[in-house]
Amino acid sequence: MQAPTDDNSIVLVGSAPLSGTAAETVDEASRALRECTGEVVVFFHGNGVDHAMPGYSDQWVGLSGDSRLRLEVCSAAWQRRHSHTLLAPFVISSLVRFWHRLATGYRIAGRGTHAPEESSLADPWVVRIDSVPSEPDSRERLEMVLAGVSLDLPITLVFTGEGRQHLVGGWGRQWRQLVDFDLARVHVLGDGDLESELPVEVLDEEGLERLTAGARGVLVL
Amino acid sequence: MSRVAEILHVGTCEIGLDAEGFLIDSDQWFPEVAELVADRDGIELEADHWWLIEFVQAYHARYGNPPLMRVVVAAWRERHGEGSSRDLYRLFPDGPVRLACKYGGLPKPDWCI
Repeated sequence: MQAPTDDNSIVLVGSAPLSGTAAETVDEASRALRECTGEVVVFFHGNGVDHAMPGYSDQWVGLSGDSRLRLEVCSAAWQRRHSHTLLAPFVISSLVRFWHRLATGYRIAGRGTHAPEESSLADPWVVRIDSVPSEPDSRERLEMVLAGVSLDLPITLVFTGEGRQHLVGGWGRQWRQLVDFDLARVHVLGDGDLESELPVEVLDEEGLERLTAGARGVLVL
Repeated sequence: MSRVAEILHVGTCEIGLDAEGFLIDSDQWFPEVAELVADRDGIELEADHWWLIEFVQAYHARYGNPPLMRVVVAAWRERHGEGSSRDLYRLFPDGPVRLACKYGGLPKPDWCI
């Protein structure tokens, strides 16, 4: 008998198959399948869509024997990188569908994420960006955020470590729309010496902890 | 980059379009191109259409991507004092931002938002 579906999880995979953190993601999905009684969605976005390529997909295909697992691939990221059709068990999905799942109660599982036991609809989703910008990955991180705000979800963005470079020079142009149109709150972790033209709020570690503790969930991109 | 599927003749200019009628090269755009491409879709461009096209063009030039609908709706309200996405769909029923890109000579939005 199928388990109740009110305990669903989602694992976000944005790293390319051979990157350092990619190996952990199969374990995270396995863990989510063990611990969660409902559906487990693995959402591949950015460079992570290459996990669906033959040669990299074997471990995912192995997990797909569990009927509660859905392997969803961001359509835009896939089409930018590949001209051929996605093969089963992977299915095409969208960033908006990803956020819709979160908004309707899916719990985030995986690296550096945080899903509090209790939160309210008014609590923000915190999106933490900690990796160095590159194309098209940088634009796709922004698209992930834009998809969330397109659903009117409250999102707070925090740039940390090498991720702070997203706000410098030409990279900063695309993120500026979030501030100019009040689409999301934007913070940077550090000492405020960032050479960015964006009017962002500087956070210290304590401030980041407070922000995380009060979040509806935290995504690390 | 998209392949040229059709050549549009506007005066003495030859404008390359892709299979969906988007300009291949944004630099080839000028207002008469917008009028002709919209006319082929059965749309006569009036003042509000032009406002939307120019808003999307300016946004794209500043940020590198087209605006979200919620941004356009907010700007529309600022212009008219009221309104909703329905007003924008009345202008361009097949997708206000997408068609503003098409008639404004911008790339077809390739994101899944």
